[in-house]
Amino acid sequence: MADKDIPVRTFLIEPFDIMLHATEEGVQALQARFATWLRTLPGPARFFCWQTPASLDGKIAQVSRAARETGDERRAALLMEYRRHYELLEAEADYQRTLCGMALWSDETPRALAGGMGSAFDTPAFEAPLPPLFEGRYDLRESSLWHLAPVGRPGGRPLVAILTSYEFLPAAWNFFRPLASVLRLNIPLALVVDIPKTFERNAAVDAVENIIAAYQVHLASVTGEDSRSVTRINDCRRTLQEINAGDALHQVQISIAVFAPDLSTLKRRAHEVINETRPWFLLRQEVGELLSRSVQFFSHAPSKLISVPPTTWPVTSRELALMLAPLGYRKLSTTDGVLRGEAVGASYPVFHNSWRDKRATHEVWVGQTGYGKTFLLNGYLSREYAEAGIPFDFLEPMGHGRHIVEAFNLPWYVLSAQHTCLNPQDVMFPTLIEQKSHTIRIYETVLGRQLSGGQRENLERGLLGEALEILYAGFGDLEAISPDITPTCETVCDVLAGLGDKPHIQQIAHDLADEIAGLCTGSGPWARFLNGHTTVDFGRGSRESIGPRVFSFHELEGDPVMTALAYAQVLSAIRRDSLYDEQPRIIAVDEVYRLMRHPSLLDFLIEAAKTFRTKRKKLLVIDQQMSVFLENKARLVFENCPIRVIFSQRQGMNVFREDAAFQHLNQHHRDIIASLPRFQFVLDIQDEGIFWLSNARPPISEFARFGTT
Amino acid sequence: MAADLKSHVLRRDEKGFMGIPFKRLLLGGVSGGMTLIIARFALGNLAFLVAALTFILALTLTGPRGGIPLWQRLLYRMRGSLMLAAERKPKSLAGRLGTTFDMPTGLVALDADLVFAPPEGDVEADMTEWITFAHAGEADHDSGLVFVEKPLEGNH
Repeated sequence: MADKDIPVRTFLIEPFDIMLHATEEGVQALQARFATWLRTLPGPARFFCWQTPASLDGKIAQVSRAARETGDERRAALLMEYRRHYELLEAEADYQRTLCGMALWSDETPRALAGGMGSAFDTPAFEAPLPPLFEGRYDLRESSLWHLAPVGRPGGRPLVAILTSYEFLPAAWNFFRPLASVLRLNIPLALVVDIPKTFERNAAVDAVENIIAAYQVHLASVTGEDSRSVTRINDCRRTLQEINAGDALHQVQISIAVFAPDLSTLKRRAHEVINETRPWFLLRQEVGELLSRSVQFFSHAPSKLISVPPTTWPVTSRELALMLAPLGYRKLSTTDGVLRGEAVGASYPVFHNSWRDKRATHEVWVGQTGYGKTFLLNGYLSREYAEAGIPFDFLEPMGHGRHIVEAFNLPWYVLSAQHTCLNPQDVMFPTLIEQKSHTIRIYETVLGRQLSGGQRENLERGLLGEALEILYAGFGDLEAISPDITPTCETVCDVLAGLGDKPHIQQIAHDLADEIAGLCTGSGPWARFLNGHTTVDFGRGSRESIGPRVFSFHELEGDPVMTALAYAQVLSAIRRDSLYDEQPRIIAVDEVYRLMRHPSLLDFLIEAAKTFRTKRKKLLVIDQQMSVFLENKARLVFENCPIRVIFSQRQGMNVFREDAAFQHLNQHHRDIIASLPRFQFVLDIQDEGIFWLSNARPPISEFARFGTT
Repeated sequence: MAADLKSHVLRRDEKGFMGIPFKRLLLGGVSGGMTLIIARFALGNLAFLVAALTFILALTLTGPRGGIPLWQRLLYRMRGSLMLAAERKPKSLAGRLGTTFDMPTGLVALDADLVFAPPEGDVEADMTEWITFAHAGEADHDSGLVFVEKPLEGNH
């Protein structure tokens, strides 16, 4: 029992989704982890789960308010469509919100205790005060049912009845029954698993052995059959076996507070709960003084000070682990942020606000073709734009940006090998050194080789840099160089060809100029695309803000170098613009491996990811296989992405098994990822949780717009 | 995976007759016997009936209801009624009884602010969980002053 000198520490624990463990091995591992933590309980403990009614009203009000306030008609129309979707969800379901907590009587530091719980339950746990069972003043009422009622105007405050366990029946418990089925009754309630005592191992063994001895003496004197005693001895022996295998013996009592708006509903709900649990444990309805006292089970008052006749039951750690089942029942959580999908199994909408941090949180999306990546992306961009007013830049190589362009009537930038020119010399960086490095990276990609790592290459790099410096220096201020006056590749080659103070240097400069000219000027393969003034207006001009834009590269004739250059130049322009402000923006880059397979451009992407992050520009990198993001330097991009959206990866499961970045996934998570059907995905948010979501029931408006993707 | 919950392994089933433990039968018998001895002076042979009723009453009241004996459950219920009466109708007979028996009337009305008050006194600020910034700009790159749990070793 809790010593009054031992302080109580209270923690809130983020419920997780049991569906992510719902195989035989998964729940077995979960039970083993919970049991291991329970074996080491430092003293009395109390587990709490509050289930309160929740609705999407807040979300609906927020969307309506945004629709009223926005001056953008397109956004307002979208918002009204989303409002209708949320109203539809609300009408179809009866949402509850769950919150779990733990009170521990221990001298250990709260951080250590929270850390222990966090790793044992594999979900965030942090020290926090527990929410009250009710608010304001309540008093005891004697009527056909003893209950607690609010004093004064109820103001939405419900009546409360309390049920306490007094006998546990010999029945099989698991994570799905009986406690989860109580939560599935979908009535507001609070559940407490009080653990007033954990026996010291030897004391537990002695106590159980004494009972066995007593029964054996009794059986020795009985001539007939006494099956109850035999069963009891067997139970005691099993308990001893479990204790000897490392389990602890705990005293446990379950209390359930049921809420209802009126007395008849309260009575009905109390009976529903009693009937639901009857095959597993018996509950008594608290009356009179007992009712008033048992309220304290929902506080951090030590059990022995509550002064209720003890009706605890001894259970071993592996049995007690199953009583923490409510932890696996994450229900409707926050409605802050945008809809990311619907939980598979539980069917509650999952919202997430990734803009709480002052820096942007980048995301990695992976999934095989045809599994709903693009459809979800269109929906996500649309939701962020409508609900949070966050514009986006969408870069894609297949031409399917058309759908989102048509849906929102956006400017569509189709970069074409025939009609578009992207000048590598365009000023994208504020300093000369950065600008030179960037342009050299473009030329390296064109040349298909690095201008470093050897004597000749170093000289070439120096000469190309010198040529660029000469050209830029001619304008004085770098920022004053607009695209229409920027030097072209031809000019660079001319200047480069004349550099060098020694003959052999002159020869190198001349050769390099020839090489570049051969590729980028005259009738070279990329002349039309690179040699000239940029024909796409990436700039913000005099605009305060830039709306959503879509850049498609499907007309680049499948030329991988040209596509990579287009990605790099567009991203550079976006990067340059992002330096002006810290307005949130999403930059979605589909088929990012086309950029990443060029070493020079990969360096650029890594650097851009950091810049975007500090300027609140969310980079959303998309590809088919996770392995693309884990190879060599590409990993730096991956490590900057705390949110991972994973569609079916059955062709590339090895990284999820082998890579250290995925050690938080268990076998069942991996099985899910390997067999995700279309429109289902795993949303893995670092330090927040893993969600198994579906986008199979999107808002009707999204389906109408993007269904063909 | 599941676990089969076991019977109460720390409590011995009490043996009895017809499902009633001997202890309760004994208490019922003693109560009945005592009643018979005392009541016989006043009631004559009618005392046998009273004794039988006492026996049955004792058995019933000691029977478990919701994990506790019925008499105890009734006692808590009665105490609740007396508490309510003492708080709401102090002049009534029940109210006066409640006051006389010093019922804990504080349990009639529960104030959430008191019952569920967080354990403030026990929560100490752990400075190692905080980063101190001298200038606002430091927060951008998390380069603030950090409290450590013990002196750093090796630098004298």
